[in-house]
Amino acid sequence: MMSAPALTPAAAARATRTVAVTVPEWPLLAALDRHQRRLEAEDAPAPDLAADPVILLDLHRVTHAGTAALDAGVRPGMTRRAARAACPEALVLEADREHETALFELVAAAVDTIAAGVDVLRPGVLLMSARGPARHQGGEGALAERILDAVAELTGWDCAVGIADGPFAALLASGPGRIVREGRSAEYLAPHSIQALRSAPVGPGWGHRGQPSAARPERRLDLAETVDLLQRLGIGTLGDLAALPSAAVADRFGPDVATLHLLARGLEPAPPAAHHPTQPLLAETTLETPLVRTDQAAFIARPLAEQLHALLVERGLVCTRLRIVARTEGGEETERTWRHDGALTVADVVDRIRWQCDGWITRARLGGPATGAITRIGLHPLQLAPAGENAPALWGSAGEAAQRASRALARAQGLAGEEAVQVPVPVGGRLLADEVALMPWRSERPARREGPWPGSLPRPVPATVFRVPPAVQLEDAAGRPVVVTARALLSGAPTRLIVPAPGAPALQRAGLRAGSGYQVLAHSAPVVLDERWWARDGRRAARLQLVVQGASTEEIAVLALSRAGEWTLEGLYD
Amino acid sequence: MGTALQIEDREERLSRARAALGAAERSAARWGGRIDRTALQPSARPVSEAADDGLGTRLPVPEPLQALFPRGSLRAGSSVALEGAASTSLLLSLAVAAAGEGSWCAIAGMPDLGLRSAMDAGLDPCRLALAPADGEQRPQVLSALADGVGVLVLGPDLDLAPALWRSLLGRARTADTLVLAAAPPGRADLTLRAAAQGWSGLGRGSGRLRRRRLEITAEGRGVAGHRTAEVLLPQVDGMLAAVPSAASERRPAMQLLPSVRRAG
Repeated sequence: MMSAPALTPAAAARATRTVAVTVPEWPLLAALDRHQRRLEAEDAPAPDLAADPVILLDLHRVTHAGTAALDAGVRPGMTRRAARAACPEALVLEADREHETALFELVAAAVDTIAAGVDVLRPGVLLMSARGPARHQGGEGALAERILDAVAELTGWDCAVGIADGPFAALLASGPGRIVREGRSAEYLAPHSIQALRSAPVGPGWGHRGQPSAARPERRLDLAETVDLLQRLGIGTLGDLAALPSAAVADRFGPDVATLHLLARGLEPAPPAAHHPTQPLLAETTLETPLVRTDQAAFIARPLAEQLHALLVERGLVCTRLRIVARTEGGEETERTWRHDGALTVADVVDRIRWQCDGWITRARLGGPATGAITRIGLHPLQLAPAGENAPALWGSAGEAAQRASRALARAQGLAGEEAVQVPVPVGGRLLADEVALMPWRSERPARREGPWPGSLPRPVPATVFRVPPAVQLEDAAGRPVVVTARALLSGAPTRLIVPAPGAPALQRAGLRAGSGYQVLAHSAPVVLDERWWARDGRRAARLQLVVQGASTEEIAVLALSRAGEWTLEGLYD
Repeated sequence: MGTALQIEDREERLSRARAALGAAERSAARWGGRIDRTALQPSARPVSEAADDGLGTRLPVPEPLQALFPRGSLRAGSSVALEGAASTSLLLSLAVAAAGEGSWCAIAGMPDLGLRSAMDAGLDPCRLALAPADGEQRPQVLSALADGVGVLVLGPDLDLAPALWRSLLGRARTADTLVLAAAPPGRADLTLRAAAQGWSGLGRGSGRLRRRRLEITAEGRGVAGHRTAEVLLPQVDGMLAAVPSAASERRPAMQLLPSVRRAG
């Protein structure tokens, strides 16, 4: 992926025309927003945050500081104590990455109203392809303006937009808000200091989207270290780095720095991926006359439920979990979450609003903790599913069962994770355990490996197939271990099956306890499995069906597998 | 009089329409289309056996086992416990029959289930879900499954608490879910006990496993004393079959078996 554009000049010449939208000092903005919300909730007077000095700490180090704090001498990288000493009156906030990410979805959603599909690089920075949206908006300048307007209008924050070939140039151009002409990205990048690499839009493994690389978990290059190294080698600008031959960079520094080199040349390792963020759904109403009687609740509930329903229908979603939040005169918020096995219809929602309001009003009347009259009711759908999967079938009722089941399975997965519900996918194989794979429900299915599979077992097949095959020993009448010879013959007729160690519980239940031997009543001829004989990792194995006499004199049929002279049990016919 | 005729006519038309639709569905299914199986039910019995007869919805059981069950079928929302040998195969064949052509089946707590044998038994992999149900959330996951699927199979490795078992039964009863459990910690509506009578087909160094005779005893609600049936499980096509009569069993020593179609 990384070297492909470098190798083919035709592809290298074409980096995607990219728009970068950045919100400067995003972590600081997000932390301030959270702080302000907290103050509002406590009804405390909001201070003038624009003028007051603000310091943002992450892991006890200053990461961002407001202008007033910077003027007072606070610098990123300071400890809390040093920063406090420099600016004692500053408001100190802790960074919250999750909140930053969640809040940035609002910006992403705002940009998504202008151009379909954005790629959030990290909280504060998003990329998208420029070509289509620019043509639609009538030019790149117009597109940038529309984005600035949309973000300001929908979220209230100021953002910066840069457009260039490739993500890195676009990102750097967004600072001064420039549009770099087509094919001029390398020139635009060249004079920038090598320090600019610190904000490079690099892929997984570099903390991109907060995820460590799956491929090389142990080696995560630190960008700051890399920049430092390059500087010590005398590479002062991006132009210097771009001038190096790419093969030499890859040889000397490895693939990660080769990616940076690629970016410095104004190319891109991968085009921006498109994703569609959604505005959070919310239906809310403020009551002009506070709610004090139960029967009033019903009147309010219906329009609110209908409003939510309209929102959901518009997006083609159904809601299976709903949070109802009420705010009382005293500023207190009470909430309750409702689950529903099916999709919540208008009537269901109305019922739940009424029940909940009834409960509160009754509690207030009975002299519970004084809540005051309800002044605002909000509905927050928490668990949404595409309606398409729950829509009734075109005819008949078979859709209903599938609908009910899919909701139950979604619920189970929501409770206990994706692995909690698995579906079998026939993939093909010689061994019973390989023939059918288990995949999490609704995940991508592996492709079926087409056979033929010589040596696969004919019916009937064992109903129990051990995931961890228990080791066993087979002995002939003289007490010698039975092996399968190269000519696919048994060295002797097996007479005893010994289970040396406690294995699967299924084996215990069937009556084959560990540490004892069982008489073999009948056995088949060995069937040889020549697995991948054409490859180096090919193995030979042999299968043997056995009927043994269990502890309770019951006949137990098992399927034994011999590999390199060692016997295991593949399955149990139970 | 007139209305009766009209109804008859309507029912006839409905069954004709279903037959036509079924034919279309079958041809669509052949080409891998998603199909709705209600239309596939044979038109000979327009009112299926899963009909409501005042005693709740009845679910079919494998034909050789019908004698074991009160009224020859299972009530949706009831529970069956299985004990003794062959519990896995028996669970699968009961689940296949009860799931029929429309309901979903969830299997919990059977980590060592042979998936190919489940498919050979006739379970539709498109309507089958397996839940390991081993985490902290096990009670919630199992109750969610009991709410949603038509047949819930609980394996012997689950090690359920008696309280959870009772609450699952309550949920299943309200949601009309059939619960099939191997060695449950409490009472079930019906208990099947199987004893293996021996395998046939395998010699000393020759042959292959062909069939096993099972003697199944049922007792519980609706069964006076106990009832017994003898079946073959598994046999060469992987499914449950009645024990053939003595005359038909006397076959020539060598016989070519008809080719067995693999399950898709």
